[in-house]
Amino acid sequence: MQPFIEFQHVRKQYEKAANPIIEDLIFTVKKHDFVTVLGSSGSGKTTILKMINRLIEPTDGKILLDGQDIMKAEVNALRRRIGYVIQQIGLFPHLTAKENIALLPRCLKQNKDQTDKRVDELLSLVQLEPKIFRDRYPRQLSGGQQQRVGIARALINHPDLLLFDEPFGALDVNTRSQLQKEILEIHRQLGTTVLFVTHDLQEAFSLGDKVMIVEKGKIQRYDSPQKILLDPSTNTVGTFALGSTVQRMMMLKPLDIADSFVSGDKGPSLAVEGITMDHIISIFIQQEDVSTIILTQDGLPTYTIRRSKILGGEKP
Amino acid sequence: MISFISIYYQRVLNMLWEHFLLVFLSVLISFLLSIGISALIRNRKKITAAVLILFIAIYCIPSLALFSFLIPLLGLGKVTAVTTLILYNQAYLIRSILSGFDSISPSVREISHSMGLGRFYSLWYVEIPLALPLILNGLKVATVSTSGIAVIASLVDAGGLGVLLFEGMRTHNFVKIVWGILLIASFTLFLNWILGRWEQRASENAKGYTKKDGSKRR
Repeated sequence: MQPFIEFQHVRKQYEKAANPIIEDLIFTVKKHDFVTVLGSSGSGKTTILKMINRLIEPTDGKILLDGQDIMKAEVNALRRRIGYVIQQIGLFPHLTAKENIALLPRCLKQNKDQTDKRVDELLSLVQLEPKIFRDRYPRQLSGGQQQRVGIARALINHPDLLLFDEPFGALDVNTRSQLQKEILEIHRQLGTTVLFVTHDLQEAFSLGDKVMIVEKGKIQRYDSPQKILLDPSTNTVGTFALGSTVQRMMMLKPLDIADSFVSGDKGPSLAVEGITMDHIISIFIQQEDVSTIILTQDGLPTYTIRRSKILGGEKP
Repeated sequence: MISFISIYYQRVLNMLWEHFLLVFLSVLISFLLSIGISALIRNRKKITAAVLILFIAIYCIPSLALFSFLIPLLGLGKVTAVTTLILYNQAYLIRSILSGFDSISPSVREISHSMGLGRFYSLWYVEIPLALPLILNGLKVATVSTSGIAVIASLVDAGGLGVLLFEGMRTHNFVKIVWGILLIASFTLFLNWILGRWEQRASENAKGYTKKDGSKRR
């Protein structure tokens, strides 16, 4: 089946820079996939995203969307197929939530009643009561509420692709995890292809069907979270570099811990159901190069525990 | 004082009208010109700096000197006056227009470009409403400035309220001087007030305050 997005030998070099920010990038994205793009600052992850809606244009190489070269398409027609959500949100301060969301349909001269209905549908989808929030201005909304409107705005034109650039980075922890769950639910309902850029490990591994780890403009790993974390060659230890540190991660199911404890090579045997902090701490102590432990449920990563948080001191 | 007006009101109204036309035409053409220039130099830092320096230098030339300079080229009268006023207004108007657009939050600009609205709609529905407060501020200041310099323009046969003032000064006629000052000042203050109201409304609109929700606030 033809991939939905295809990068062919894409390169991006700025004139005054010594090195290209992205060099010979090759990857594909399947339709309906939720791909998280993980990387530290300057890794090129945002550049990759912005090249798809042509906010940044590649120096070399081709990018195909649904088989079509995006540089040959009319740029606005391309952008209207893509929903874009950014960290700083970017709501138009002089327009109400409804006007923000409905701006594109209004410019396209679409039927007003239909648009109004759709705006209400989308507001409900992002958990904002339409009657209350429809006529609110951005200044009257909290950060989380603003970003929800931002997401609704990105969805208004039935895009076949959603691009997220660290959308929850400026929000508090609780709102962030709430919105993460909601984004997954929206993806489940709509099936839109998603590219989600983040520098947060937990976000990347818990949201993505596939995780693309980018470092210094190159793809280090691009696979499902489970496969990245469970590297069969080294048996339960996945490794990749993020920024200046090597991340070694372990993924544990309650059964894994029980097995290893039963086989005696990890210390005293402990309870089978659930994992206690003692297990976690002993793994960190016994395996000094493990930086992160991810707990899973039904095969999906649910909780991330960092060494630095448990044992303190060094940076993760 | 009052008798003066009742006798000469026709003439005074004439001068008021002339003054208004002078200011209106000059400001209108200045504004259109400054929009055109701003659009051309918008994303080019070096050209912008050069253009602004040029017009600021022009602004530094005393009005009478600039008028005299243009007389051999354009003759005496309204054309010279309007041309000079247009030249004076460019520095402030261009700067206000560019500031207006620069004041738009980068994230708002990024989103409006990425939505696929197209250049026209992006300007019309997003950028202009947000840039308007600063642009209108520039328009207001330019108008007041124009009204002031237009008074001097009467010396080069452009007509307007300056005629009354300078006539009074020449003939030591106290009544004419006072009326001249009163009319010029109140006319200019009125323009300042009405353009200020427009600027205020645009500013509230840009921040998301409207009469609709009843919470109209500065």
